[in-house]
Amino acid sequence: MVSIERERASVDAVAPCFDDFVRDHQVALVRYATLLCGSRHQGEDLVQEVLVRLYPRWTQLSLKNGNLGAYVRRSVTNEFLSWRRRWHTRHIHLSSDDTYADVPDDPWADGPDEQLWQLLLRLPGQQRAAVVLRYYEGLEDAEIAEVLGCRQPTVRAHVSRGLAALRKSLVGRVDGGRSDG
Amino acid sequence: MDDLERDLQRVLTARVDDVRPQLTGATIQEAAARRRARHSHVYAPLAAAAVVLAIAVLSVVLLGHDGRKAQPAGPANSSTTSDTSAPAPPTRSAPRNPVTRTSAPIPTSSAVTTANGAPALPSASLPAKAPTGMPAKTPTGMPARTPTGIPAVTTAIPGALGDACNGSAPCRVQVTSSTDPARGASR
Repeated sequence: MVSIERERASVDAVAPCFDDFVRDHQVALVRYATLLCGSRHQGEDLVQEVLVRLYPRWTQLSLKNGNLGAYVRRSVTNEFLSWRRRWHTRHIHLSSDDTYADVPDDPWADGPDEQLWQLLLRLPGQQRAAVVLRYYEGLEDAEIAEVLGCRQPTVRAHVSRGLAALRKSLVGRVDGGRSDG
Repeated sequence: MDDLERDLQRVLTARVDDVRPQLTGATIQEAAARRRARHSHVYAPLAAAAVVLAIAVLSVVLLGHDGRKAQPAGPANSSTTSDTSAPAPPTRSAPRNPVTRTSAPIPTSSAVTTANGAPALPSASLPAKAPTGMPAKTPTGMPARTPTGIPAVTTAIPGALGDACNGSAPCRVQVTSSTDPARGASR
C-alpha cells in the first residue's frame, strides 16, 4: 500500500515535467522523425514509441541528463535505425519488392524538390540520418557523432557518401535528360 | 556550401514545415500504462518460473555439498578394528557409514571383557586358550589355521550376543582372527 502511494507520488511529480517536455519538444522531434522515416505518420509513431519507453524512468533521466532534448533525439535516431532493421517483420508486403513502397519508380515525375526528397529516402539509414542532422538540424560533426554513437570521421564519411550518391543520381538524371532530348 | 547542400536545406525545411503533431503527455502516459499492464501478464509467470528454478538449483547445490562432506574415508580406517587383524583386501568396498561399523567392533582375544570388566572366560567345551592369546586347538589337536595358513586364535565369548544370550543358556561366539603375519613368520 505504501509502495503504491509512493509510486503515485512519484508519477505526480514526474507528470508535469513530462507534459512540459512533450509540449515543448514534440514538434521538433516529430519533424526530425518525419525526415528520417519519410512519412509523417511513421514519424509520430516513432516519437511516441520512444517517449512511451522513456516515460517509466523519466525521473532518473531528468536527474542524469542535463539536456533531455538531445537524449531523446538520440533515442529517436537509434529507434529509427533499429526500426528499419525490423521493417520486414512489422509490415505486410503486397509484393516482393516494396521496401521503398513510398518511393515512386520515377522520382522525376514531380518537381526538382520532390525528386531530391525521393532520392534522399533511398539513402541508407546512417547516411540519411547524418545528412538530416547536418542540413536540417544544423549540427556539427561532434554533435552528430554523439547522436549517432560513432566517431567524427565516420560522420564525415556518411555525409560525404550521401551527398556523392545524391550528386551521382542527379547528374545521371541530367545526362539522361540531355540524351533523351 | 554548394547548390546541392542549399537545395537539401530548403527541401528538408519545406518538407516538414506543415507538420503539427498531436501528441500529448496524457496520451503517452496512457500508452505506457497499457504497455505495463500488458507486460505484467508475461512478467508474473516468468518470476514464478525463476523462483522455482532458483529453489531447484539451490537444493541441488546444497545437497551435493552435504554429500561430499559425508563421503567416508577409505579402507585405511580398518585399523580401528584390531591390531591383530589382517589388513582388508583391496577389493573390499568402503563402508557406507563408518560410525555404525565402528560402534560395535568385533571383539578379539585381546579386547574382550565381561560386563563387570573382568576378562572373558574361555568356554569349557572347546580347548581354546583365548585369554592368553595362544593358538586354538582343533579336536584333532592341531591348531586351527586361517586360509592364509596362519594359526588362528579362537575365543569363546560369553555374552557377546547381547540380549540373545542372557547367561541362562550356553552361548558362545567364536572370533577367529589371524595373528600378525610377521609374528607368524618369525615363529
